[in-house]
Amino acid sequence: MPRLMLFAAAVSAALAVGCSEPKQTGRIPTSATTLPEKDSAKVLPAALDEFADQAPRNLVQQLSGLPIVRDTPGQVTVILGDINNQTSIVSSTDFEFAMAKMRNKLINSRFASDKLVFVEKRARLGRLAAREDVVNKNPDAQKAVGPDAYDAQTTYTLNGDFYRVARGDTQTYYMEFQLVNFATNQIVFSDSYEVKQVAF
Amino acid sequence: MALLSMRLWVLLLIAAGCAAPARSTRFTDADFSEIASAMAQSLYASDAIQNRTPDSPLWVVSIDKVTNLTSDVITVPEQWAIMARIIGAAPLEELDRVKNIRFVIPPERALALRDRGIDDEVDLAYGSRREVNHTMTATFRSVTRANPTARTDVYLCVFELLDLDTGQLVWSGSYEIKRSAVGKVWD
Repeated sequence: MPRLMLFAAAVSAALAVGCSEPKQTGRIPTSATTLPEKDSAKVLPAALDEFADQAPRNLVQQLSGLPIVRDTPGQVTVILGDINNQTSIVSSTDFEFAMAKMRNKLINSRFASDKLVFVEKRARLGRLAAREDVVNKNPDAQKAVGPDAYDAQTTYTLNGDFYRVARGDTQTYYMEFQLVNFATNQIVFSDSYEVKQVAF
Repeated sequence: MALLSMRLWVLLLIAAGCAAPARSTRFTDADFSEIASAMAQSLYASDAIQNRTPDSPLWVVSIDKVTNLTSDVITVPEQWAIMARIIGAAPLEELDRVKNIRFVIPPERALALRDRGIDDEVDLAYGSRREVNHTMTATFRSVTRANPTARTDVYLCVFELLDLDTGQLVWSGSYEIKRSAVGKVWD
């Protein structure tokens, strides 16, 4: 009997240790770096994360000194621009991930949103508006999906450029985030991030 | 001795079997629930809504299903369910009375009811006075890294409230989830 009780206690302990919920779900902290990530020559998701944190933070800090703030009365319009992916091995969707994070951070920054108005791209807005027949019900809404949707002088695009230099197992990624005037193509703000990684 | 070895093996198998790591990085129902709950809290506490009064211009808000740009499967019903959960958490009467915000069913739902080809009370007048001026959308993206024996997915879920008359994004919320799995066969 004592042996049986001892065995039952051991089984219970094994169940308690082995079957604890956190080990089974596969959910891990977003800041954790895993073996598949380290083994890959592609840019580390943690690096994308740091870039997506750094660039909007720097833009907000420098916003008050930028010409678009000093010289333009009222708000300026910002749309998500182009992703120039020159890495050859990383999917552009990975960089869209980072740009989407940046836009979200800027929209939620009170200081930035006082000056910057984020708008959806015309094509997507047109599809969503057509879904609700908005233009037929409100002719004024036609402007938002037409060729005159933006005042080019006070509209800016958020562009991302991504480059890679590869030497054997070592990859250096250079990522740049720019705010570019729609009409003149002037780069009014630029922030860059570099990361070097070795795939094991 | 043989009996002792057997018992030890049983204990090891129990511990190992129960502690088996996840074999899929796919979203779970608990993830969807957590995302919807967090986004509902973020939306209803946002400046865009808090700063409104009963005299603010009327917002009529529709929803669109999740746009899935991840490398994983999210079925269409799941895409709708996530959005429905956010509306389901809304204090509808309070939003209408205090913030002048009204939610409507998606246009696909209204059309499906109206265009069934059945001669009943749901006729062409159904939704005929629908005047939506805002849409809530969501886009899910992922970054995937995999080697022959393991996989990691980071998911970014971005929700937005869009003014359809001007194209302006009046609210945006995001939620990130990271999942890791082992094994050579993916779910």
